[in-house]
Amino acid sequence: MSSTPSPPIADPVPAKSPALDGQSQEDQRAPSYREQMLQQLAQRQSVAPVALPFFQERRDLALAAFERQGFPDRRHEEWKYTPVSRLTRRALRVFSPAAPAASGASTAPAESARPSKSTTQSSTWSKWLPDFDANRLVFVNGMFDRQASQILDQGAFSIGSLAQAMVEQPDTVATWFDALAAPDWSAFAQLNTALHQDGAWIHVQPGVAVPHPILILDIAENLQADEVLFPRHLLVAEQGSSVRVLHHSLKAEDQASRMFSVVETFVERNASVVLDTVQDGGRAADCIHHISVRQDRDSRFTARTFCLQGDLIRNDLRVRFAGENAECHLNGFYLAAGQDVVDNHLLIDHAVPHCQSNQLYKGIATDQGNAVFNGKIFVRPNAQKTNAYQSNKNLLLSAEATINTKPQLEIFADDVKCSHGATSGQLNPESVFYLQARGILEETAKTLLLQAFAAEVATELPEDAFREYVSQRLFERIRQVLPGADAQTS
Amino acid sequence: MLSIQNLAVSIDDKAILKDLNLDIRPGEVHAIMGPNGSGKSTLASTLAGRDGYEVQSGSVRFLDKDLLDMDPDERAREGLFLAFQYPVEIPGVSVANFLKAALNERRKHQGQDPLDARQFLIEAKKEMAALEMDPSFLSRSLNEGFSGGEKKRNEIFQMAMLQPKLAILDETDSGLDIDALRIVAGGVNALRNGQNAFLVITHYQRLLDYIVPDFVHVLYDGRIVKTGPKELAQELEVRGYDWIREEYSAIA
Repeated sequence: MSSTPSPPIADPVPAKSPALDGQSQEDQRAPSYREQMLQQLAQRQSVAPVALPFFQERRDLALAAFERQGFPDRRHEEWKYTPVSRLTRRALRVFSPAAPAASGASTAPAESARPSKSTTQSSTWSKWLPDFDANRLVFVNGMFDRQASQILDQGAFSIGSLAQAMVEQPDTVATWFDALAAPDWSAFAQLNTALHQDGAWIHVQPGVAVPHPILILDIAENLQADEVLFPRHLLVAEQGSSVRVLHHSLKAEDQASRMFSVVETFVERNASVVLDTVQDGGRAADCIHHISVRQDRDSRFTARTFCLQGDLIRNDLRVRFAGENAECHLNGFYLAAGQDVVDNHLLIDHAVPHCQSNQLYKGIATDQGNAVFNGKIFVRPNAQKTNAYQSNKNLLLSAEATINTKPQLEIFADDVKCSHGATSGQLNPESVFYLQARGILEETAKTLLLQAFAAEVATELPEDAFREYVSQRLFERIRQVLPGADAQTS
Repeated sequence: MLSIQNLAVSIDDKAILKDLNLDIRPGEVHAIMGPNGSGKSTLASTLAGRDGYEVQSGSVRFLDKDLLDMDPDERAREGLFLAFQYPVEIPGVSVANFLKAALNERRKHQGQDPLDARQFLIEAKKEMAALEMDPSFLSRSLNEGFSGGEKKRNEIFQMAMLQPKLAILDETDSGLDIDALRIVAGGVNALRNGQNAFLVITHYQRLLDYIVPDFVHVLYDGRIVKTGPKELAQELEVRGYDWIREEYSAIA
């Protein structure tokens, strides 16, 4: 391991590729951008050796794809409202546990070089572990934290580290890994494939139900300004199996964090998967998150996404129906306060007949916050008897907040039922007055109404400690961002 | 208890109430009748503190305090209650949660401890039984999907729980059939105790067969132009409002 910090991948770039950080190409003698990437890849491999050439090929292909497309900018229709430059004007470097923590060189071996609170009892993020029975996979700065993780359930399923699975059962992982990658995956998702660190490997054998939910904690802690995390999770529910996954990403410190994560999900025939995602990174947290899902015949998939706090949150959630009679429910709640941007892009690909999709996204924008919802429903020519429903409801609490909502229905079959609705409005003053007229303080009345608005998605969670935790955080955030509230912590 | 003097109120610069005077003492029931557009609901909204009702002049004292200087929620905590003509539907807020919050704000204001969940439930179920309401109402979203009659009953239920000192009923009888009217009126009568007072705003004399007023006032053109005993309501029912108009224009 080099004793000097690895150079940022940001510097010189091929002429055709947009600059990663806007810097010009001055030093001709500096290693090429691609060389730097490869250097970084080499670094990664020393942490997780490659068991199959296949995995290296996927990284190379993704890197090439990234090089071709570069980071999107606002001219790109899909990224029109996302200030990507906020992410890319800072240099990018993959987090490395061996990099010096603050100053001076570290010569300790990779596994223990960076002093991490995560392995100590006084972990600052342990308060975020909901106190309930769940299998728990903890990733601190993209690295699997075995001590903090716990597996309750034993059975015909694997729950563990993807990097480890790539070594121990490479052929099985290779069946699924990166199988959903598509040329139109964003630069961030491509970069994740090229540079991914560790992540969850969840593989449920046919006909098996995992008894307890699986909680994935993605924690950013003590990152340096140029460090970026690339968590990569892979969920496979084989025929007739069922599993519920709770994915919680957060940040332990006040430092800035950037996370470009990918979740690939396979819901095989008649299987059932629930994926609940909570994004609660605090201030200065940027999260570009990509979820791709493939559903086979008769399968069910439910995603509930809660974007609670982050400077820039962008979610791409894509579901492809690959077999008939499948059903998905994609629901979400988002909150954009301060100058936050929260962007949810959904794409449901009705590629086959007789499938059903439902979307319910609700959001609140306040201060100068900007919330974006783009729900694309694509019904292919042969996808008859498709049933697709979409609803997006927004509340604007300040004059400077913005909501951009865009239903995008592209229907090429003629015997389908598709409907959509989008609303943006303010709190109804009549409702506030009604509550006040019963003695409830104005602030309390507004809080109650906002919580009621937001709760619709949360109340779909099963009644357990996780739901309690999510609801509590959600209500806390609403109290914080409410105009005129005492605690201006947003 | 309530003393309104020379009250003038406008909405969007249009004068609605003009020089209105009214005194209500504890234990009294006052009825306000009048043709459409005479200002009945404006009076109710102004007293409750709804936005957009601009008081141009006059004063309103409630229990020796300046009512117009208080926020709507403060008025409620002081013991004023408005039964809405059109109760608002509030999805996601259950009747129970809402009412518990309201009740405990009121109790806090009076220096009492909050009701615990059990006590609340006992009280609520007792009052609901009296109003022939199903206890499942408690877990429903406030007014959402309620029928007209259910909404009005829910208003009276809230009133029974909050035990106001002065209750203003804004056309609570409109749209109710006779059975529902009887139940609602029964709820109001059960609350009367000599210490509290009622201001019943109505279009129809029918309600006053069940809630017998001490005074009937006729509101016309923003003023109370006639006050009489309960028989005045019957006279209005028979003769309509034209004779009031004639009398009033003769004076004016």
